[in-house]
Formats: sequence, C-alpha cells, structure tokens
Amino acid sequence: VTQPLRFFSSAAVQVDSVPTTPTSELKVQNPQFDEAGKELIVEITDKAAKQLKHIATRDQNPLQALRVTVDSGGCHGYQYLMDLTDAVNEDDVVFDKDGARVIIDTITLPMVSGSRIDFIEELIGSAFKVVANPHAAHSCGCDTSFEIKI
Amino acid sequence: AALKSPRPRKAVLTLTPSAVTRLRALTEGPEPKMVRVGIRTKGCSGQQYNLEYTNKKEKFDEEVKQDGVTVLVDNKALLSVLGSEMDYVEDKLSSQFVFNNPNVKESCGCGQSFMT
Repeated sequence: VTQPLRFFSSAAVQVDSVPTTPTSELKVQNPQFDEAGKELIVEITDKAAKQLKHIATRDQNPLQALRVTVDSGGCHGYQYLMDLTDAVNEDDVVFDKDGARVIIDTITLPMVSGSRIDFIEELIGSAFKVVANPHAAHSCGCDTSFEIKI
Repeated sequence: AALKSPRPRKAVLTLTPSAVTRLRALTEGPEPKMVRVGIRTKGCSGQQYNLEYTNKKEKFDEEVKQDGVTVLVDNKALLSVLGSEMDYVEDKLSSQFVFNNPNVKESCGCGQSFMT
C-alpha cells in the first residue's frame, strides 16, 4: 500500500512545483514566418499525436513522421496528400509534439498554417485529416480537396 | 395467402471477409448492436455513405446476414447500394469501409461521395 501512495504524492509535488508548464509542447525545427513576422505553425491534436506514436511503435521506427503535402488535384483544385516518412529534406519544417512528428515543406506550410492535423475516427473508418484550415475557401465533402482563399 | 417470391433474391449487399471481421469487432459486446448503412446528401458528387449504430431494426430496413454478422440497409439507401460489395481496407495511415458499387455513375476523388 505504501508504494503507490508514495508514487502519487511525489507526482503531486512535481505538478505543484511547475504549475504553468504544459504537458505537451510543440517543438518546431526550421521555423518559418509570414510577412508580418508571425510564425507559421500547425496544431497536432492529442488524437493525432497518439495515433502517430502508435504507428511509430508499430513500425519500430521512432523517426517515422507524417508528411503533409498540398498538391493540385481533387474536385476543388487542391488536395492534401498524407504519407509516412522518416526522411527530412532541407526545406522541411518539422513539428514535434511529445515525439509525434509532422513534416511539412516550406511550399506547403503557408497553405495549411493555422490548421489542425487531426485523426478522425468514425464508424465508417479512421484517417488523418487537415481540419479548420483558415486558407481553404471551400472544401470537398471528404475534406481532402479544397480551394485556396485569395 | 402470403405472397412470397419463390426465386432466391439477390443479396442487397455482400461483405468481404475483412468487412465481416471488422463488423464483428464493431458489433461485439454485451448489448446487441447492429450497423446501419445509410446515405446522406453530402459531398461533391451528391451522396455519401453513412454508417451508424442501432439496436433495433426499423420497419423498412433491409437485413443482410452473412457469416454471422448483420448489417441493416436503410430503405432510402436501398436502390443506391443494391448489389454493392462492402469492403474494409486498412493501410498504414488509415482504415475505412469502402463500397464497390455497380450503380455509381460518377464519384469524387476521395471515393466517399458519389452519384447514382
């Protein structure tokens, strides 16, 4: 009985000593900024982070990351492409949340900054999605294809 | 007198083995649950599949029983999905039910929206 009690009390002390530090911080490698000097970032939701870590563990590759690219295509002009990779190129920006990594190249990033990378689970299936993209004017029913706001 | 067709009826929906496995996993549990396939007016090609849990069969639902799993097909979706094959596809990034539908005239790039 004593051991779990000790464990809980020491954890509580730790939380009390650093009350403002968030449990998961977004680390950005090769940060990019817009004309106004604001950093271009995407949010990785907890669900997406959990699934990415699950994939990295499953594939026994801790460097495995989700690469999000925007390509022309789909019914609304542009579409999101998702891929798994462990290769980081020179013009890539790497977002790391608790070890869950998302890679976006510098051409794609201005078109998706401010959006959330989420893992959507529904009865029909589950997949990674880019949601709430402030740069998208219209999007397709499946949220894969979209139009860029000009 | 009951008017019952003597001919065997063509299955409304056939399930692939992977779809059966997934449906079994989804509907297992202490409470009897079923999955209903419906259609919503959504997406760029007009219609989109919709799956929902239900615990009772509605009056006009079509019941599809195969390999021990039961799928209900919404009456309104019946004509659109007739003769389709329901598959469950898993890859490294995603997993989803896919319908191979012979009635589709036009479909969206994502394969989720279609027109019959």
